[in-house]
Amino acid sequence: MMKFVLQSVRNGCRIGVLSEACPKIEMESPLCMLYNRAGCVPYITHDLYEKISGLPSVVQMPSNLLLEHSDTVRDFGAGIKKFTAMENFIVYFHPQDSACAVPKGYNDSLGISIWGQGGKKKLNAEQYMDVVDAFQPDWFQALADSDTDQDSTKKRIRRSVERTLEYLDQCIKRKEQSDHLKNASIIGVLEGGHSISDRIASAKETARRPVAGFSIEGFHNFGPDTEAFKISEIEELLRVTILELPEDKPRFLSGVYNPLEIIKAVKLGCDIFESTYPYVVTERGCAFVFDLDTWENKKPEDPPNTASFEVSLKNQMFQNGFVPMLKGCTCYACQNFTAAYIYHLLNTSELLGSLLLMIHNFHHYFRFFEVLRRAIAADKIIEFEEHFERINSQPKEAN
Amino acid sequence: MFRLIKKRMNMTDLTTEKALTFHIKAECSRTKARTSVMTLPHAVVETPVFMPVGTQGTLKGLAPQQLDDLGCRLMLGNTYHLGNRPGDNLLEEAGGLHEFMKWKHALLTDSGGFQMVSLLALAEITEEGVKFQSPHDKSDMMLTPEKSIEIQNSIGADIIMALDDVVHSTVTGPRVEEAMYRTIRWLDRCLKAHQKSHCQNLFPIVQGGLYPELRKKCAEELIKRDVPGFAIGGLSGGEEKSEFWKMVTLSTEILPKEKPRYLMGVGFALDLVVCVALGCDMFDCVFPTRTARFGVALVPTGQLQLKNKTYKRDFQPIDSSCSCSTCSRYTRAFLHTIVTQEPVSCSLLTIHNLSYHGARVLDLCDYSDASN
Repeated sequence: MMKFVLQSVRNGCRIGVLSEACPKIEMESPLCMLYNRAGCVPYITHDLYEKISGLPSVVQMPSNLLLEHSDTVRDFGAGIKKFTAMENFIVYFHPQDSACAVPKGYNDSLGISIWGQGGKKKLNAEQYMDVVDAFQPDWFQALADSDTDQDSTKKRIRRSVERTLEYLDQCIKRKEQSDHLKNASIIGVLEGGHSISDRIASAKETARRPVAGFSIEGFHNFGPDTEAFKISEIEELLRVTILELPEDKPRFLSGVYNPLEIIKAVKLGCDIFESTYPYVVTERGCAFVFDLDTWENKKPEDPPNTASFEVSLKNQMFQNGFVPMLKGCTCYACQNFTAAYIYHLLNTSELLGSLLLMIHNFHHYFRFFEVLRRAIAADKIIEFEEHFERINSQPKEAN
Repeated sequence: MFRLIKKRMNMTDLTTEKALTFHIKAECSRTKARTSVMTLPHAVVETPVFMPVGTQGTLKGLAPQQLDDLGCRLMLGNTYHLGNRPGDNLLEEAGGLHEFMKWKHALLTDSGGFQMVSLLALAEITEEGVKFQSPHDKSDMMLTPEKSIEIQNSIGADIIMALDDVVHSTVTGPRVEEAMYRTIRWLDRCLKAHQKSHCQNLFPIVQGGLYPELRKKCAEELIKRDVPGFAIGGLSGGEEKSEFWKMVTLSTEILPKEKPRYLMGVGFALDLVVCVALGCDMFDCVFPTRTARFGVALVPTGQLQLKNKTYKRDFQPIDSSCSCSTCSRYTRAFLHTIVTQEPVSCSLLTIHNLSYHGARVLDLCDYSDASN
């Protein structure tokens, strides 16, 4: 069972300790989870996990590529963790994969639509809980209707709030009846689209239920394009939502968020994030280059080290770049290989290229969270945020 | 299976400064099999050895560390592909392929000729070399023996191959004889062009198709040259097995015992066993790594096409006698869910297939009683 202890709040940012009894793990928040696809860390086999420093203890397993195998996992009988050899992690199971856009308009009274390799599946709460029961995760999100965005009608928003609450109650009931899920933690989902009143209603009602934490959704339909989404656009919505929530339960914010948006969300009171962003960046052949080391010593007028959060290793300028992708980076890829080699691998569509980029991007993103926690504790979050604002506002070159 | 008799090592050879030393540890009393230790500039390699093929400067889906962990000490790179991308000039600038791909053990490159002939529609063999159209801009290009050696010198592999005039094993007629004699003439040009014999070992290749007298003539000519090892080529192209083995054994009869024999493009587990018994030491084949990409796992009883619905509820590992990291963690049922869908499945199966092949080769080195 998940336990969250809030230790302090500085400039709106919460420093907390999240713990789990079995496996016995303790983590500091804000934190991010390790993204999985179909039960695997993308590109990276188990024996290379040790190469990624700061590897999260929580693995996020979206259901989209796993649903079609739920029968198999049920027959396997020992849960998804053993099936995927992830017993040393905390596994958080949830319906949608934020790295994949969810088509609008496919939820109805029969259930929530989830797209996998074999096409669309529609699940109601009972069917979803059948899967959760077979999977036996440590944490799981209740089934939710999050199909709203800034263009949604009042009717759609209201539907999503009501349906999500109905599903939550059904999921809670099923959890209480299940032997497998006795010690699992259920996460309630907060809806309300871009409507202040509906956000408040959803948050108030959900907070009354016996949930271990909250996941705030329904702002958009996920997918790589939401990288451009700005937390500042939903600042008020997040504020009114979080006001209704107890302080001793963590707040999950799922989505493809860059460091600047993460900081903004943390300042508003969010605690747990995903690592879909490094995956999306890897898929386009890019590597993170945002500075995490010298920002503290820079003056406001100093230009940042880079004009962007990332560079494209497919750019021919790296063809004879016999240097690491990111100078000073301590990741396995940068310590051992040159940008020129990774350019060659991407140019020849070799799998090792994506593998090395994924290691680098995970490593750098997890380091960001580490530096974020330190910056909060040292009351330097404003400077840290400004550092990323400066990178963001640099004129962009064509990649 | 093999009854091996240990040999005494000649201690003076250990102090030599040659780029290759080859010491036979034990020889089978009934077959031509032997176990040996081959010392190369970047690695000490136990033979018989199976060399995985890292075509474009990487073994598909594996980091060098993982290959190292599997016990691999010698792998292949393809000169044709590497010569195109990243190109020999860039590899020279990078300090050689070892440095570029961060492979600290030994490398072997082929001459580029075979790929050229098999991949390019308009490749034409002339006395000068292989004439072809550049795959990039369609301009006319020529791969001469000299150019092949030059590229291989830039790549910097521990073992390099002479450019040979290779004909498909099913070709018959005067073309085979022509190719055999040309191979010898090209070998001499390669030897002359070779700039780095102190750190790169040039192996000639025995050709001659399926004609015993041509093979014999070729091998007899090759052994007159001062080279550190030999390859047997132009086989495993779909010819009858009985013909294939005849040509192999004929070659190993003539090739000197005290130098390594590399049988190119072989192969499947059964072929490895037979060809070790016929006196071959080194093998390469894309099969274990290529087939992994298609979801196929190698097992003692054959192959498992893990995409197949048969494995949907098969909760055993690929091979319960296999100690690789894939078999120690995952079931066939789990792998069935990800093969050909998630890229990581390619790495997982490659690890197993290479581990499997490596274990088969180790089996061949085991002592066995005459009664077995």
